[in-house]
Amino acid sequence: MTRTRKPTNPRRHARSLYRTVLSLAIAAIVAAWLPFTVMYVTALHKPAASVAAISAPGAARSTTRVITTASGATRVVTVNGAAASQAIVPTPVAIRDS
Amino acid sequence: MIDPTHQIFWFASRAFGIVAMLMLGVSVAVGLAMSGRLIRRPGVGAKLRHFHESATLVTLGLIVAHGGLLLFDSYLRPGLLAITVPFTLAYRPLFTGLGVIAGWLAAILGLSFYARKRIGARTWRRMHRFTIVAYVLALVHVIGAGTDVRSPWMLALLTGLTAPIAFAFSYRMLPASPIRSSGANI
Repeated sequence: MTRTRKPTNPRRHARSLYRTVLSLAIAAIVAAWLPFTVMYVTALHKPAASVAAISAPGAARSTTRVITTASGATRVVTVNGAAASQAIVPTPVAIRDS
Repeated sequence: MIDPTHQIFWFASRAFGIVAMLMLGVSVAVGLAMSGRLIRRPGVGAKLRHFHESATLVTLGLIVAHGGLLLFDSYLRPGLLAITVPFTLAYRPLFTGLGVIAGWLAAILGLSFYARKRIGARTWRRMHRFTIVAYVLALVHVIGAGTDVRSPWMLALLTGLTAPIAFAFSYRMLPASPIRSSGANI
């Protein structure tokens, strides 16, 4: 017994393909919306800048802080002596760590 | 609390990249299931072929969106050259370059279906076997350059995609009977 294949109408095939492609595209956009929202909300609830003081024996005299600048680059700032008592307040910036 | 509005293109590009990887995996798995005759029910083959073609076209659109949205990212600022020419992007050039190659390979192999009459069915079939290379390159791109690769959900997604593909590929490539194929008379 030989298997016979139904002749497909190219117009019908194109219409059916269009429908499937469009449905899949809508599904893909909806699927992409979920991780996008999660990323956005996560970024929204992140602190404005990451400032870390290194705890070391000399921390009382000097303070080293890591500041993330507006451009996204990380900068290490060391303040010695009396200036260490003054807090380094970084400008609230966006962090690109993700 | 900060306003992440300036990162929306970066987030959108990543989101489309994740879905592109998912769709590519599904398309490759369906293609391998078809060629390996894993599903033999009558009528299913035509439906799978139809889905495979549609999924491939949508995957290509998602790849374009993944790269295209990066053009608008104010932090990375890659430029058209960096997203289309492999190894020219400053950010992890090796892994992003492999991603660019995977994208081009997927486009060439996917769209070659419509040039089947011109290139010949046999040549097309030979070419189409390399689709698995596009998937592997995309996987390496995700592992090497993907921001979310350390997330458990991403690892689950990649494992869930790759394991059935590895099975279907092995099933397709291995001979049906090792005794018969080796020519031994037992």
